[in-house]
Amino acid sequence: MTEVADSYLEDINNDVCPICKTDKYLNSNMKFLINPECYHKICDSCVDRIFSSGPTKCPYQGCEKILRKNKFKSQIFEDISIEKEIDIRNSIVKIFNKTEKDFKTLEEFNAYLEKIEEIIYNILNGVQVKETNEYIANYKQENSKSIHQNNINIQRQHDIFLKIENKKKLINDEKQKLSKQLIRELQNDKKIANQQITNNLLNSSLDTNLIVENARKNLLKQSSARRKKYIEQTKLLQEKFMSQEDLEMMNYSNPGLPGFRKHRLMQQQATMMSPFSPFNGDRSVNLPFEVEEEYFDPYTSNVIKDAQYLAGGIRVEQIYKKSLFEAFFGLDCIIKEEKSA
Amino acid sequence: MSDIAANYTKEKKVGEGTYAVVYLGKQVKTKKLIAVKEIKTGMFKDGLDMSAIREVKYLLELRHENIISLLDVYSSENGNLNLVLEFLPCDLEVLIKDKNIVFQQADVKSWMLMILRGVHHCHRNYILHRDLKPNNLLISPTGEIKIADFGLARSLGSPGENLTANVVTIWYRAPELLFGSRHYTSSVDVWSVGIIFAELMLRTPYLPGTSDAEQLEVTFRALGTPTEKNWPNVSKLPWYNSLKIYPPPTRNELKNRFIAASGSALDLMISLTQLDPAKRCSCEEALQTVYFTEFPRPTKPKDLPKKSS
Repeated sequence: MTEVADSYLEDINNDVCPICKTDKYLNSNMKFLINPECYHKICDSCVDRIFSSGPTKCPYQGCEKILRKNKFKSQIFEDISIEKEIDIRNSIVKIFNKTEKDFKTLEEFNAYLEKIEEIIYNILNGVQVKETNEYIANYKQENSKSIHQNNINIQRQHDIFLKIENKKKLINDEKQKLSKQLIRELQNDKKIANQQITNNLLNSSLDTNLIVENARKNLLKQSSARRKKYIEQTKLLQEKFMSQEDLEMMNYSNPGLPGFRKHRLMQQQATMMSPFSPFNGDRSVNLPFEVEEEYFDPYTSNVIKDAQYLAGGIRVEQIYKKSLFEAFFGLDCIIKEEKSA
Repeated sequence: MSDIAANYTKEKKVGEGTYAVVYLGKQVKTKKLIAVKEIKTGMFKDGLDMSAIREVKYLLELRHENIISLLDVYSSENGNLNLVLEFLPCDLEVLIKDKNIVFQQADVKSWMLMILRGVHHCHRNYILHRDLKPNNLLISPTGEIKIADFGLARSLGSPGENLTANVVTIWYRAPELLFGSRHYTSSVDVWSVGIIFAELMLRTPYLPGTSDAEQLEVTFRALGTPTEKNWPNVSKLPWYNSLKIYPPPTRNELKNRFIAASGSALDLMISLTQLDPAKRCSCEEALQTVYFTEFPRPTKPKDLPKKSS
């Protein structure tokens, strides 16, 4: 591993093939490929040239790995160590592919995940490689049936997911088309209405305000009808594209919670049952007075009409409430009791 | 020295402001940690500073688990006024700035709940705080929020009385104050709470203006310029003049700004930050919104994130 990292660091000029020294600057079509055996970077024409006649040694000096042409791939991550880890992870997860549902408790499931990480770390860093490989082989043998079944399930769920996503996209496209159409229609209606108003104003003897008012009402009616139709149409889309089967599959791809999660959620809900009080049980609901709508108070009722007061958010009923509150303030306090407490 | 002074020790100076020095100390009898705020006298020719009087006047009256408690007041031998307050080691600003802490939705909810409960208690007693900001929201060792610094507090004005518009730290100042209104209500505090809510979600000040004029600009760019249409009589306010008109933000724009906010969180924020104070919700209404009752439940104070040391 350190070898790989070193050679990667040496090769600071990323655009030159270390084998044939071709520069990407001169040949913009050039692609770099790597092989998951040793992760050495080689340009595609070198790969063609060296490995066409069958598997052979990696052209890097000191690298004794035998490489095959069909294992070469283009690099996804810039950091080669991440590329390597992802490759290892993918291959391990295909074997250790149990899901939450296969475990009874969260602890067991977490232990399983921890074990996977440990294996990946070991392989990546060359720790206890022999033991780890043996462990993987054993596991594979013992669980061959379930591994196969799980992989099939995963693939199937993925397919369903893709299919449903596609349909959702279709529905969205249609919706967009409909909404564009709606906007067009509404604009059109407006244009026609305006024209009508002008015509009526020219020809009819009715009152101008009345004409405008009528036209406006008609337009409003028309547009609300169009909107209603639009909403109905969008509703129909769902039924049109999503068959009953699809909806069921959507449920299938999102199966119920595994046992222990359900259990935990129920516990959570049980604690939720204890009542929540936003005021922490401390809210003055029953005031010892009722605020009436009007009082004889010429001063206040005059002042309160001032724009300065209105703009500041002051309202007359609040003033009355405050006055009453202050009148009753402290009447329910018994100082002796408060002092002793 | 008065008898009360003997009940408390001053051990370490922890801070100094323009009008007070704060000491860390203990209550002799119980060994409980306390803070003593010694008000400097003599530097004002009319006796005590106004804010000290306000602080004592209102804190003595208010008793609530989300408001800092004033345990005692005494005068020391040099004639200075001493306020014995409960000891609160942290404040919300410190937490917001601490990038090592991740805020969960339930945490923000819990803080909002405590802030609103405290402010509600002030408002139902007709007291305006007028300087709500994260820096003045202290946090007890058990995680509870305590509203502090009542140096600008006053009781709600009566008709005919003029209030000063020059209150609240500028970033948290409500639009009616920015327009110089002399007659306002508890809704100025509600605005501050709304801006604090936004800050808790963004982890950075929501409307950071550098001057009065720029604050107007920043506020209205984010929330739309008020007009006679959405805020009747606004144009009569003293400092309302030819403003640049920004359209109010659509719900979608707000949603993009506050990505983590749930629908009801956004609803609450919108009603806390209504431009027209008459349309802004009260603390009582805010506490009754779905936001507080829906899932997730507010975090218990003791489980809230703490300052990473």
